Amino acid sequence: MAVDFHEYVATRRRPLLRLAYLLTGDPHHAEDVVQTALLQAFRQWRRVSRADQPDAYVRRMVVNAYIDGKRRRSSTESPTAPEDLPAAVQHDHTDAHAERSLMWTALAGLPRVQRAVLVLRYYEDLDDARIAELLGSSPVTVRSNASRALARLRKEWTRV
Amino acid sequence: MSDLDPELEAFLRTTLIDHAADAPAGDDLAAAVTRVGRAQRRRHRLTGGAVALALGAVAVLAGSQLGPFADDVEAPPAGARRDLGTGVGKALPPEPSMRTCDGTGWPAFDVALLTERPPVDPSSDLGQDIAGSDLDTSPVQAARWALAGQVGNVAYLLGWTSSGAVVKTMFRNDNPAGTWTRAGAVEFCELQLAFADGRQPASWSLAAEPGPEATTIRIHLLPPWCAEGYVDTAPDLLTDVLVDYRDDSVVVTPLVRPPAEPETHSCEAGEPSVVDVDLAGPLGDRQLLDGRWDPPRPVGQGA
Repeated sequence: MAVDFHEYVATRRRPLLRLAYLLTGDPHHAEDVVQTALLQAFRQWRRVSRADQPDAYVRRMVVNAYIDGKRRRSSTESPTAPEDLPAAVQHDHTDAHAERSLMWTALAGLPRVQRAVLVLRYYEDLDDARIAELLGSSPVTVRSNASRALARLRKEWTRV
Repeated sequence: MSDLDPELEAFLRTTLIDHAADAPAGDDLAAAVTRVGRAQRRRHRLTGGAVALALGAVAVLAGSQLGPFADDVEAPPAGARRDLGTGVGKALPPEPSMRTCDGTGWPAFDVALLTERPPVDPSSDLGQDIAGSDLDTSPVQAARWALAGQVGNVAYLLGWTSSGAVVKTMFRNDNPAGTWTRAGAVEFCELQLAFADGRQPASWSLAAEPGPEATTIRIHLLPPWCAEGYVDTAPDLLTDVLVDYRDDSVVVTPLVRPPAEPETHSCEAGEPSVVDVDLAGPLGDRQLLDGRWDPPRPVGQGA
């Protein structure tokens, strides 16, 4: 049976916003991205709601809205180029909070597709084939992007 | 180099899970998206029908010699007033001059702002920071922004879309750099009446469907701070019920007094408060409207 749009948004908005927030790193951009995706879904709701997995359909729209978004960097976003990261300090990996902040900052510095791959793989727990489907690419490309992204994160992580 | 690094991957996973908790709640998302979507659909339809509609309207006005002139407006009859235990009904006083956007904490602003739309001074700090912000990336776009009010370090902005819809957002300047940064998504402003004495208009629904002969309507009171299905049990909650009689509608606006401290709201699950509202005469075929909103909405269609 087709799902009511309002009901869908009421029950699924939080997971969608969490995904968008992890992709964008910014709560307002996350809301923008989800609004954009849901507007698109609203316009085609009859078709979307009758799909086998309406949620997968909308999540794909969220990811695409993020990747396609041509926006300026928000003044609230952290500078993310490696040279902008804090200077290397002696680090014993005991301050988990600080480490996660650094990881978060390093994530923000990744190209959008690479960041999307990591979020889909390590937060949404999707396999490479599913990620490829969502991104409209191939599993090989997904693996390549994941590899590059992890290499860059590793570099930033070990830098401190 | 292999990308297998269990420690890094586990840490990345933890980081993502931790930060996911900071994601916005998006409580108004469904209403906002539906409203924008419907507005877009209407615009699509109107684009095709606008010329025919305009020509038709001109022909009708010319034929009937009707126009939007003040002389055509009939003065509304005075409303009846009766104490009913939980509330009274009385005619609407002069048009309230304040409005606010539905939502926690929005300040009241003069209704003139909606017609004058004074743009934020582009040379001011706020104006410059708005211009340099990411507002142009929002899926809801406003052609201009006006300052509705500033409370502490939060600036409340009203905007107008190309179709004339009123939208809202906020900027804050509590960051170390002292710059104004966006502190909320661009959302539609659900305009509602505001009163300088702190009373708030409550929404309502019909407790029983009145017939054309009805001179009293029985309503369920829905205080704006209680979720649907909850009722505020505070005594003396209702202060007035304002009634505006129009040719084709009767606009009913119950006014409630919120507690001095917002956190002392006493909303509980239960049967809603019932209020009987006396009308000046039979309802007839006039539509009942919820006057909390500007413009008033058909009953049962609150935000």
